[in-house]
Amino acid sequence: MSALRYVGLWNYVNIFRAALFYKILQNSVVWTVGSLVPQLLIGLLVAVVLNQRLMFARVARSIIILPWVVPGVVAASVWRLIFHADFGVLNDLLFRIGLINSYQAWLGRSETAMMAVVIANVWKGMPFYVILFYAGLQAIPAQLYEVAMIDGANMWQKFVYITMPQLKSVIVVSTILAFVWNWGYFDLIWVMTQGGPIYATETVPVLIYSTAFRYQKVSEAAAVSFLLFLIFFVALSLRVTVQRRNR
Amino acid sequence: MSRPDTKYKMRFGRAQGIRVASYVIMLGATVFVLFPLVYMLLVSLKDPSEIFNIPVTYLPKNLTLENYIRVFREYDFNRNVLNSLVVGISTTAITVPISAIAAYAFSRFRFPGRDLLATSLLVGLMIPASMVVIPLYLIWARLGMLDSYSPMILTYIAFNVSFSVWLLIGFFDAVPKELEEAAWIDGAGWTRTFVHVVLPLTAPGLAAVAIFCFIISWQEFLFALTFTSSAEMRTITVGLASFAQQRLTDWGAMMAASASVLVPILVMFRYFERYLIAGLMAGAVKQ
Repeated sequence: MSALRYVGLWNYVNIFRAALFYKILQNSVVWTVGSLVPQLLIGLLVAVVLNQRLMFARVARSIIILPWVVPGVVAASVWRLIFHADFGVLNDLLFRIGLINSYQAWLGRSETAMMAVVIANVWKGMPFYVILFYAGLQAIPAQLYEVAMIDGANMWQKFVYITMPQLKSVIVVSTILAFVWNWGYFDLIWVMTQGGPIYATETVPVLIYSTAFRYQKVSEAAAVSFLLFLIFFVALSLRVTVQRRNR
Repeated sequence: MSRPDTKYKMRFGRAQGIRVASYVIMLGATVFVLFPLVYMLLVSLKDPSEIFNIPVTYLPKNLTLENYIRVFREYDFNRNVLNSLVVGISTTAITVPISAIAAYAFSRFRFPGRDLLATSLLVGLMIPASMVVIPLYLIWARLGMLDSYSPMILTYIAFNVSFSVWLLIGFFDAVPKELEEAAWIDGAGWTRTFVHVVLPLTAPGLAAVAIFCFIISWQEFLFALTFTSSAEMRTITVGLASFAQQRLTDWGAMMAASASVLVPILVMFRYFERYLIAGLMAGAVKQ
């Protein structure tokens, strides 16, 4: 590492001039929104189901939250094998059902690689929101539902007029957290595709890492990090505002 | 059939329908979550040549530990495990006392800047590793500390403290003040009260936080990848990733290594789960 030299805003100019940067920003948006929406929706649905008094609900809950503690690198290795073009179990299953006529290289083609890493990320990320929503649901006073039942509310009405408003702050906070964490998540993509094929799954964190350690442009990588900070800062301000308002 | 009867039946049918749908969703989510994990275990126990069968076999024809033996004998995964243990245990041993003292202060004392500091815990919870990895790398490089344990340990402590403090505040809040006042009257100072009265009562919380810290450093990847360069310093996650890139075709060994990384976490998580959910519930109520 050589001595630092003052270059003004050149690092930023270089970033914004690179056509690739916009492709990567776009990838990041697709990755973040594509992961966040199913993570939160499935998370909410599963939490609502687990919150009912069903048989085996406790066992199911213990199992469903497991991926939260599965290291990203481990999840990535397993999903890589599942999506493998020749020995992958996904190809076998889809072929048996008849959904595909020939084995696909899910991670090797630009058209499907992003979808594949997003599916792995939904698997890895969804459990945390199950825990959060479940905790939120448990905190809703049972009397609210009893009163509603006396008033003759059906299940849907109870969900819309009691559950959702009571969960509102948990949902808002979860959305902000999911946004920041997915936007900054590196491990899964790096181990599954390294951002490839041909930048199809390269997101901002992958760009930061490869700029610094593949192309040895540490200063430019720091500039990209700062752009990531701006997004983080917006999310953080929202989070603090929500926290203040709820107090 | 009379009208009220039909109505009753319809309602009954609808409630049953929702119940069935709930079971289907629960089962679906469980299968979706379990499948990759079970698949990993099964592949890790397969004969290495069987992995290349097309179409794939789901259950191993003959169970073997060959993949595990190869991972630890030939690929020197022991060294990675050792590194992760050193880093994980050091991180935990330092984070828990720091967090306990800080959380106790948040729980019991009113001091200037308390709210601001409490809010800053939220910041620590949200910071993505990829945002700060470059500046941290530069700092460790300038200090000449790269490719050793200390940059990992120090960074993990910084990242773990916010969650640990946040979780422990709840545990300290639950300790009745009267107990401390009794100790106080008996002539014990703050330190003695804290060590002999409060800490033993929050032992489950401390254990949960310790397990959490260990899991977090055990599974961390980006910092460990960036701050180390030699093969001897690699932690398990970095070892596993480099493994995935170098021995692309040895899927049996990769799954065996993955399972070896995962199993200790799952064992510890069984204990931690209860407290984690309790902690998060407290958090959800507070929000």
